[in-house]
Amino acid sequence: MRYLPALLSAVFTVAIVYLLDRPLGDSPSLGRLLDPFRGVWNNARQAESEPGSTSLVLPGLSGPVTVRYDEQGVPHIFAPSWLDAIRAQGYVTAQDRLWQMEFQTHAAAGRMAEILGPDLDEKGDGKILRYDRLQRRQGLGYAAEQALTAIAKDDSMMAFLEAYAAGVNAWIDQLKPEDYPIEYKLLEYAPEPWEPLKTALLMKYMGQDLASTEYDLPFTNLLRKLGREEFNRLFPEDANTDPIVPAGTPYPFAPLDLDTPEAYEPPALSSLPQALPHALQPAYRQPDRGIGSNNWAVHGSRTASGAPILCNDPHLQLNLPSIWYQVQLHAPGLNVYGASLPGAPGVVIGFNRDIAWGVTNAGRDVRDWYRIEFRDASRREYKFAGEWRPAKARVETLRIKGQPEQYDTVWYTHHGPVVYDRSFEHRELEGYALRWELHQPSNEMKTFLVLNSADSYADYRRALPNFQCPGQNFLFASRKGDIAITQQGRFPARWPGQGRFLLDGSRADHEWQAYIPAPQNPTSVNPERGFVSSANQYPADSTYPFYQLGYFEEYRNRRVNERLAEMGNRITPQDLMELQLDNYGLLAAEALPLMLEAFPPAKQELGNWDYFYHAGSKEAARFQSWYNALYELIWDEFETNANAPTQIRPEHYPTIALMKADPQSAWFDDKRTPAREDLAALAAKAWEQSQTDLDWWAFKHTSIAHLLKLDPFSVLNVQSGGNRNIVNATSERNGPSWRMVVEMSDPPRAWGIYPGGQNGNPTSPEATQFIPDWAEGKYYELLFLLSADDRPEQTPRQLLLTAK
Amino acid sequence: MKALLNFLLTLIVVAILARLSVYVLPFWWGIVPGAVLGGLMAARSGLAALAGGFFGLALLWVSYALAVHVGNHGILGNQLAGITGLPSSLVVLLITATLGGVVGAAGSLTGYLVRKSLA
Repeated sequence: MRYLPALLSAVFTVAIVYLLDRPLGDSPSLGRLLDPFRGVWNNARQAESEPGSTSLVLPGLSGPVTVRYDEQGVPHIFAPSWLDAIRAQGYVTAQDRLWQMEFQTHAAAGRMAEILGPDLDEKGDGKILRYDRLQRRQGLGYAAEQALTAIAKDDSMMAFLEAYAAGVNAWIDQLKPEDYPIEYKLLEYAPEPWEPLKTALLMKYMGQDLASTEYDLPFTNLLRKLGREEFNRLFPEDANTDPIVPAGTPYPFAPLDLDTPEAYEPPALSSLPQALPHALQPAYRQPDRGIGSNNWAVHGSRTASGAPILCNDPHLQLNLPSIWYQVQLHAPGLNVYGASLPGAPGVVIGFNRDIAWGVTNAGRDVRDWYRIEFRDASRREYKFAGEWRPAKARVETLRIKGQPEQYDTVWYTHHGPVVYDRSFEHRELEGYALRWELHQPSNEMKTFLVLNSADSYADYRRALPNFQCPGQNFLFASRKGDIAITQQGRFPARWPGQGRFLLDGSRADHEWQAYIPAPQNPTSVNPERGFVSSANQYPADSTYPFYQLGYFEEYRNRRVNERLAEMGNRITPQDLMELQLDNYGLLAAEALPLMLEAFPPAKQELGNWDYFYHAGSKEAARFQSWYNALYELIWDEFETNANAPTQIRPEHYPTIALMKADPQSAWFDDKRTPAREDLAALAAKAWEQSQTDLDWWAFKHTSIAHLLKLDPFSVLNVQSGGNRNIVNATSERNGPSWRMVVEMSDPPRAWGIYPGGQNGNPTSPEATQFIPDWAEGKYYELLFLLSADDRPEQTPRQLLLTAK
Repeated sequence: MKALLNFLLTLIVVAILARLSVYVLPFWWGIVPGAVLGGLMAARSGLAALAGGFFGLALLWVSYALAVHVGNHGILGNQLAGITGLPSSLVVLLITATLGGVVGAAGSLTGYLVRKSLA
């Protein structure tokens, strides 16, 4: 009996430890989490970089590598060979960004439920699991595997991916669980080994982000609902405002001869309105043109220094950790600086001593839907060209946190995977197959690695053909004085209208019949106007021999070209920084006069506005709230009509065109009221509904969100000007994710900034350190070191990597 | 007076031994053997074992956490409060202290009772 108290106390102790070791509902084990030695507190220990020199072992190096970190935390890697530089790049990137790198590739592969569970909240609607299934049914994993087959044929590229993976894994291997990034601890999982497939997944994920835009199914429904004439009026293809290749440039080639169906009518969706798969409805809800980019290069004949200046600012979702990671790579035959994607070797947007390059999104439609007629419920055969063809099954294994695995069979036709069928979001026997250029074997990283060490226009041309998807406007400038832009990608040669609506998967003339030959992609080299530029607009004017299907921007491009044309011949890098930060609202400049004419009392508040969306502008907020309300009222039929076939509404350009051309249009009538409204009535009503006295930044709410959408890890309500459709394209969640200006003098001078920090640890003040300067429109001069011992005073921190 | 001194002694011995044992055992509950041993060696009453174990571990944990907190400008503490819906980082620190303390108290008492049952 005398042992009983000790025994009871021991049992009690074990019970407490056991309870604290167990996850509580959705939250992780409290004991593990709050243990100051190994839990999350440990992530805040030494979260800031200390100056000084350290040595670490990176197995497999052919010789020692020196990594010098500058004041911004940018690693400058000096290596005895390219492969060593890439290996070290993998290592130092993982050191700063491991969790992000892995999370993004898990997201690409449809593996979110594995770490987050099937649901986002208590609703139990399986939202995350549905996301995973959609990723897989769209074939993201398949696409990455396809890419790897192409990369495997290229020994040097495969060697880069393997060296990069080895560098990442060397970092992972020396991590103890207490050193895992905080997100792993909060979600209680562990990093897995990196492999080349993950780099391929990352590239396809970027491709998905940039080459997904199409409205085939909603357009098909809308065409039926509105009739062709009205559909064409509201969703026009003629907003070809100021193409990338200057209008009037001759195209010395003929279009390909395509088998074109006569009087094309898209096949009917099986029923209205439910024919639009549910999962697609939110995806199609509102076209967000926030994703896009600007780039331009000015010829030396128009700059103050006589050297070309190249600028690029890709507008992507504003996240933490940032999508970009700055790096300089130096090895024999290589010295490149720029923005890299954590998870991929080399530099994606940057410069070396001889050239600079940048990219914007092409926005071409490379994603089509085909209606598939299955022979029977087994879905093993589908109809094509009058016969039954076998479909191939691909079984996807879905791992789910806290639940048994699930399996999903996806049927692949020769068009592509059948995304929607009886197993997913659809009840009928028919299926919807996705033809997507993203599924093709490809080796896009090769383009960047060739550019990294390119020294001439000829190298630029040699680099481009590897880039297939997502189509990009590759901008180029060289020290020798050339400037150029090319819309590069593998684009299907379409008959007019092909792929704008649902296609019939059983018809041979509905297939993609050929690709536009790469040399016939729109390109402009040293044009007379002294600059080249792009801002996601139409690549070429209507004399281009191929049908240009895509989703193009109408405002930023005109503002950029107008400003570049009027800047004179003494242009400085500072002038071009100002242009990147330009807050002029061309949309407002075109819409407001029409709105004031319709509702003159608004002149008192808005009549003197200069159309600039500066952060502190009250007029910008007042106009935007008015315009938004008016837009909602004009297109209310698209929302309120019970038979509304889709959720997508006309773009702003045709909306404003309608205001101008037909103020009495029936679209201005609010059908819920007995009166017959016109634009004037609607403008008055919208004005009343939309009172605000906020500053523009407070009205807009720009936020830079952590990838887990945790507010305490995010920066909310950034005080920034600009908006979508404005050169400074900072909207609510998207914006200039990297601003770069490079003057191709010798050596080049460059400036850049992105909204985040090199350090990916959310508990470090360094994680968000650039954001205030970014919001204010400041730039940092980029430290382009010419050798390992150039300007030692500028790199307070140093890391020596040795093989043993 | 004697009881107070024994409480303080237990507190110090538990804190030192727990720090050593968690250094050897790479788990958060690596503190337990140290707490048990501390209670066994130092405590002369059940109350001293409980209180010394509680405050020994509570202070060990919270002092580490606090050092990190200050060096980190309070960023993590505020983030944790925000994520969990707690009112402030102070509460997060208090919870950290309490968790360590409860485990320390249970371990230390067990040590004391083991010694008593063997005596």
